[in-house]
Formats: sequence, structure tokens, C-alpha cells
Amino acid sequence: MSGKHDNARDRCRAGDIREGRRRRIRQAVGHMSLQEASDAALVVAIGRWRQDALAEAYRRHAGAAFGLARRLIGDREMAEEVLQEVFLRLWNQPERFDPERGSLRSYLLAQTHGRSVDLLRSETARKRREEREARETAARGIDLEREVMNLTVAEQVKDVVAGLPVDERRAIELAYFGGHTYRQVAVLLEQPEGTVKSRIRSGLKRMRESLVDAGMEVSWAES
Amino acid sequence: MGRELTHEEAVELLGAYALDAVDGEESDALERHLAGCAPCRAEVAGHREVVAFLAPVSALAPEGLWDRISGSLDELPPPLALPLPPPPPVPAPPSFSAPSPSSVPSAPAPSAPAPSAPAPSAYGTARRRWARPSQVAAALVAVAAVATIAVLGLTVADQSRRIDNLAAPARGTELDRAAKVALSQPAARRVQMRSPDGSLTAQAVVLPDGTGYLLDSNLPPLGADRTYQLWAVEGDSTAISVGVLGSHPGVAGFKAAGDAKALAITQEDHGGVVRSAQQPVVVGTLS
Repeated sequence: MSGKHDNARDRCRAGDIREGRRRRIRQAVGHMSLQEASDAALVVAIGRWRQDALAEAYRRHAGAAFGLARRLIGDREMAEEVLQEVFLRLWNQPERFDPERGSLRSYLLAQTHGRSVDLLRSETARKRREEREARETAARGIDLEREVMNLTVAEQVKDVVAGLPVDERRAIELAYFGGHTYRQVAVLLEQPEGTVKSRIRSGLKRMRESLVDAGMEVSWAES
Repeated sequence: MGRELTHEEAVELLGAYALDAVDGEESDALERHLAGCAPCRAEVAGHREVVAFLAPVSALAPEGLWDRISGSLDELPPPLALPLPPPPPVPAPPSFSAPSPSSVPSAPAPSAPAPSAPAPSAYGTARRRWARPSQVAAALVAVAAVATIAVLGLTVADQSRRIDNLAAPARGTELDRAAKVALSQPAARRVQMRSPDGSLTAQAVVLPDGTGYLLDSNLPPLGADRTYQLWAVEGDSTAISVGVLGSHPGVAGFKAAGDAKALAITQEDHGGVVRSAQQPVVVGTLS
């Protein structure tokens, strides 16, 4: 019983700490230097109609988001539209970002990825994508390791990706950069759907462990 | 609605889901599972943190795009205006109420909102909607047109029930738990209410059936003779009281229409009012 109570107390204390942190963030927003503000504080400032806070969020994360959208969609104009939509959504609905659930970067990238995939799966984009993929595949093939090299990610990330088993790497690459569903990936790789599901998940877990081992900070929301 | 997933089935899909690689009914079923499974939600968030490392770190955003984005941002919202039914035809001190159709001011140009003009507003509309005052004006005309005694009667009747529901300050852990569960529902609509200067905020969540919870706020405590009152803009843009919150609001449950568009909180005399003559303290659109 005491263990349960301790746990409950710990949870309460954690809640108090989180609320205290939120309060401090709210108090700091009014007179903070945006360049030094945390992402969470930036979003609070965005919620208070500070365009300069959105500009700072854009400065920090728009490059990565655009690079991802461009890689997925191919079409520069459509990628710009996705980026514009993602940042306008942050402006209009800042409360959708929950700092307890992850970083602003991963939130914006997930939004960018989801919207890009929606476009990819739309009829109008499908043909364009197939043509592009045919060209790319014919030219050099696609491989996650090479994609990561091309995308100028950190050296540690390149090493982590290079260290993945090839089946896991291929499944993640086709789903993440190709915008395919896991069922489509299974067809493309001629593997059972269950196997592909498992490989994507195990590959992501392996990546996380390797990133942590390499000294990179990977936040993981508490359940 | 498709078949529900077992926890084991859901877990197998989490990696693919984090990569947007689950679609259709399977995705819907997984989202229903996620709504009630914190460990699964945490795992998805964790996978998304991992794949975020795959995005380029040195890519540059296209030139000119920020100018386009910033150019499409709205300025501060115009003064808030509750689209409540017009006041009864009795002498009353000048105060705000929904203008009659003939008094609806012309909409300012979207690019140049006039802060001093009482912009016609279905209050709490999304920020982007502030830039479309012509739509809002049309909505307000409709509000005034339908502000009949019949509507008002329904409002009063409904309000009394809702006041009962909220009469006791909601502090119980059950209510907190219910609010958290509601917040985790995929279909839940969240609203961040704010004052015009952004200093006061209140968060709420509304489920498709209209069940809602006021979650958190930084509204300053009022004197014993004053109370906060929560309003919902429903259906034809009529503002309906959904509860009297007391002088120091905490977590509270309420019932609004499932299609409620916005929420607002006003300060009123103790006991609340049927019709508000006050500007809302905070407003927000249901996302």
C-alpha cells in the first residue's frame, strides 16, 4: 500500500513540478529573449499573438520541415504550401502542441510528414510522384543510408542508420521517405505485412537505442 | 466503425503509425485504442522523436516563404463581441449586446482591421477567421434575426439545468479523470480561450456529444458577489449559457451542443445571468 501511496505522491509531485514549469514558462514569456527561449516558451508566446515568436520557431525548424516535405513530395511549390500550412496551424492552434508529449521539432515534422503523405496519396499527386520515383529509381535507386547522407544530418545519425539491419532500414525508408503504407511496403519488399510492421517498429527502437548510445538526447514521453 | 484492436495488435502497428504508414479503418481503430492507452501514445511520441532525427539539419527554408506566412497572419483580434440575443425593450444602461441587423457595422477590410470598431463577430472564431469579417457579419445578422423569445426561452430553461450541474465546484478526482479521458479522445475538440492581450487563458475540451470540461485557467479570483459564467456559441451562432463557474473556476463539467463553435467566459453578478451584457473575459474557437 505504501508503495502505491508513494507512487501517487510521486505522480502528484511530478504534476506539481510540471505545473510549476508551465507557470514559470508563462511568466517568462512576457520578457524573454526569443532567441534563448525554449520551444515550449515560444509556443506560449505564439499563443499570445507574438508573431516574432512564430518567426523564431520558423527560423529554428522550417528548414528541416521544408527539407522533409521536399523530399517526400518532390514538387517545390507543393512543399512550400505544406510548410505554410504547418506554420499557420501552429499560429492558429498553438494549444495542439503539447510539450509533455515531445519536442516542437518532432511535432512540426510529424505535421509536415502527415500533410505531405496526404498529398502524396491524393490522386493528383500520385502520377507526379510515380514519374519522379521512376526517374530516381532508374538513376540511382533509393536507400535510407544514402538518403540520410544526402540530407546532411548529423554524423551520429548517419552512423546509426548505417548500423541498422538492411531489412529494417528499407522498411523505414519506404514508409517514411516514400510515404508508403506498411501494406504497400510489404508488397514492394515482397515480405509479409506482419514482418514489415515488426521491422519498422524494431528498427525505430534500435535507432533510438543507438542514438542514445551515441550521446544524442532523444526525448521519450512518459506514459 | 470497424473492429476494435487488441492491445497486442495495436502495439504492432505503433512504429508504422508513427511514420503515417497506417491508413483507413485500421488507422481509425488504432486511434481509438490510443485514446485510452497512455503507454501506446507515449511509444508513438517516442518513435516520432526518433524519426525527427532523419530530417535534414541544415536545409534552408525557401526565400520569401516567411514573408508569405507572416503576411497572412492576422493581427490581434478585434474587440470581442458576444453575439447574444438583443436586450429586452426596457430602459437599460448602455452596454453591449448583439446589434440589430441594421446596426451591424460594415466589415473592415481584411488587411486593415479597425480595432476600435466593434467588429461583428461570432466570438472566438479561429484566428484566421478574424480576417474574414464579412462572413462574421453575415453570421451576426443571422444571430440577430433568430434572437426570438422562443430561442431565449430555451436558453433560460437550459441554463437553469446547467447551473444546477455546475453549482457545486468541481474538484473531485473523478471529474479530473473524466476530463483527462475526454482530452485523450481523438474526436475531442480542444479550445484555448484567451483575452485580447493574451494574459488570461482558459482551456476546455468538448466531445462530439457536447460533453465538455473546463480544464485549466488563470482567471483571477473574483469577489463573493461576482462569478464567472461560461457560454457556448451553438447552432445558429446563439450564445447559450452552459454554466456558472463561481468566483474561482477549477475543473468543471458542462454540456453544450455537439456542434458548438466557440466558448467564452464572462464576469457576472453572483448567480449568473440569462443574457450577458458583458464583454467576454476570454474567448476561443473549438478546433
